[in-house]
Amino acid sequence: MSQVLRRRDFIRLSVVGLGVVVVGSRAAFGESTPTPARDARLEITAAPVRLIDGTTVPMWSFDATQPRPVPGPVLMAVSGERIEIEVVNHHDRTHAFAIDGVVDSGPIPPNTARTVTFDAPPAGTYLYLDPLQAPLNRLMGLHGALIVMPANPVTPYDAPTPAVSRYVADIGGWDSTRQWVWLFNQIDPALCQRVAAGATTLDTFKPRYFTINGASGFEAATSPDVAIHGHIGEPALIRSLNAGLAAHAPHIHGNHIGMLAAHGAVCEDVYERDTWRLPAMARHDVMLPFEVPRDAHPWPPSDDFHFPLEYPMHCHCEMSQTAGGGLYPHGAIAHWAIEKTIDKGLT
Amino acid sequence: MSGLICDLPSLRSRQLTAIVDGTTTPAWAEGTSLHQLSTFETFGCDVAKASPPTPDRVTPDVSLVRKVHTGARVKMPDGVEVRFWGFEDPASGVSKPFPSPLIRVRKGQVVHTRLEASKKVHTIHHHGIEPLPFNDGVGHTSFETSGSYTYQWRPADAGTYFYHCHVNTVLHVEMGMYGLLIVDPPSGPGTLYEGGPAYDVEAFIVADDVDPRWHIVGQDDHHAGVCGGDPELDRFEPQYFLINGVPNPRTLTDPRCLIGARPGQRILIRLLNASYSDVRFRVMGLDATVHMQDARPLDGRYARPIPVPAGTALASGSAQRHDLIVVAGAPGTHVVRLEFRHWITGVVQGVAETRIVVA
Ligand SMILES: [Cu+2]
Ligand SMILES: [Cu+2]
Repeated sequence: MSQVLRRRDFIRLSVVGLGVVVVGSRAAFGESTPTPARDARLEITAAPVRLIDGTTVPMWSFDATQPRPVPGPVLMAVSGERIEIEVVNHHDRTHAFAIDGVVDSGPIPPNTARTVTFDAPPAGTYLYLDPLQAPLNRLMGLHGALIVMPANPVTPYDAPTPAVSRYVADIGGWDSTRQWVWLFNQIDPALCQRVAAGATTLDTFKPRYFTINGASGFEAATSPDVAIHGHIGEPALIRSLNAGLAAHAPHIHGNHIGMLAAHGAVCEDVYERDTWRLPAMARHDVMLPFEVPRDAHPWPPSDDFHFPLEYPMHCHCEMSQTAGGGLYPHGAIAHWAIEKTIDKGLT
Repeated sequence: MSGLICDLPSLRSRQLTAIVDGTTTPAWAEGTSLHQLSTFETFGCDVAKASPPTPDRVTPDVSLVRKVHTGARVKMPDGVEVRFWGFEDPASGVSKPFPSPLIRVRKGQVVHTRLEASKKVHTIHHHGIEPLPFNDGVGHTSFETSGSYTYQWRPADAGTYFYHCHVNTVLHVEMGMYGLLIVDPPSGPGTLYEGGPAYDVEAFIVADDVDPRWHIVGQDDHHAGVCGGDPELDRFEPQYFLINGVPNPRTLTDPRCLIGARPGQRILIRLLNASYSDVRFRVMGLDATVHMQDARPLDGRYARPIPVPAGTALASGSAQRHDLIVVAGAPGTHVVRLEFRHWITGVVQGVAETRIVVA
């Protein structure tokens, strides 16, 4: 895919370089160039996926040229703008591309392509997926995140609620480049084998690997698209999604988050939590305020060796912290870190 | 897409790396495994183990001791005896408790929790409390405690928390290494938080689910799976459903679970989901209102209190806390019901019930 898209189609979404594909024509992110004939192309193929313990499972991918074939690339657009995505099916099964309530390509037979055109929905976080044989094609890896930004990103939304506006103002405002996607998924290698061999029903689902953006454990905690860092006073938006079937309970250490959007709706009440429920297909935006860890004493610590202050986020449904039945904590875990700096005060 | 992945140095336990680099070399770090860099192995299988002194140690307002035990036994309704681990408070005179004894402090107090780990490595993570990583009890971002360590923290917010071991957490929490942690406002018990609602009666509802297979796995190997092998810690099939360490249905009569109040009294229920299920909580016949979640007030600044009408379900994910106030009505009995839903299928695997007795 990197060959077909021009440089202007990519931006660095965050300070740690989350790679995204910008879809839509608006020049909100830099150069103004003519509307491309096609904003993005997703190419469906079978792809072996290597897991944290070296196990390889057969899965399906929207873009197998990525370092991790699953999930698909993060797509990004501005609300209301027209988007064109070409979906090419190189696989020997029929697939489709859909975003619930937004667009559905309809069946795309093997070795054909379909271009879907739609207007970007309201600013927020969406899951795109192959809705066929639900949930099988999605569980086989055909899913990814679509980020829709507001034209004026003071908050992540076109029309923030009073509570969201107040929360974001109280934490010192949000730099819209500071956002990360945490797309959770669970992998059952036996199911992948069965479906790759032709099974068309779910029968059982016994996940043995638990990923965030396709990575788990040490790999997730050290991957720049998963691991968050910054200074005190630099909030980070986390777009948490769950493409699998299991209910996660992400628990973050170091700061409570504020939940800004749940299931795609901007929250009337912003709940501050250290643990949030992330059921199957949920998409919840949570803001990590990057405040001084409130219960650290004394603050600041006298010795710099504590920095960066590195904290985990892990699912508290702890079965998700395993890989292949053990290997704790090489499951659904991420890290975030507070850097020491001379530019920003420590208090 | 590959060209877009940035080459920033990976985030490792650089506070430990600094020691190795010689930037800082506390005397206690010499000769310990804290010299290791973070790698795949030191992230899980071979985490640093140490018993360092507490950095920036100050005189505490409250000092607690929690000594690891592995010898609690709970007789289940089918006659099976299940082994539990936990933390003992030597000052309490209660040996081998399950769950572990309450930690109760006040907002603003400097607290020392001294962990005595006995033979194997363990930690204490004060869940919801946000100290420095060094005092957070997570092995791969600090160290696992091989002998003893004093965790230093100072709670800034009143509310309901819990504490648990964070070594091979999937197994050690299931083995029972957890207890409730309450931070009262400076005025003490009786008010949920400063300026928040007052209460006359306080009750704890700590939900747990038990898969007896796991307790045999843990008893055989405290580090099961950590360095390989397949103890199937992704297969959790709970058979027993507990409130405050008491298996259902004894929960309906056991004084550790029953909630007593006089008509018109305000009952505070501190609900903790210490299970691995997605829990639904209901109070039959009485309306409830959630005033705090995860030790943050629903005081109208960002969020309003949440009404939970009689008989309706409140969802509580693993490790979440909800503080609810129920006003006792006329004399009578009201069932408090927990449903434990399977984390994948959503099927109700079991229930645990107790009662509010208004008399
Ligand atoms: Cu332990
Ligand atoms: Cu916890």
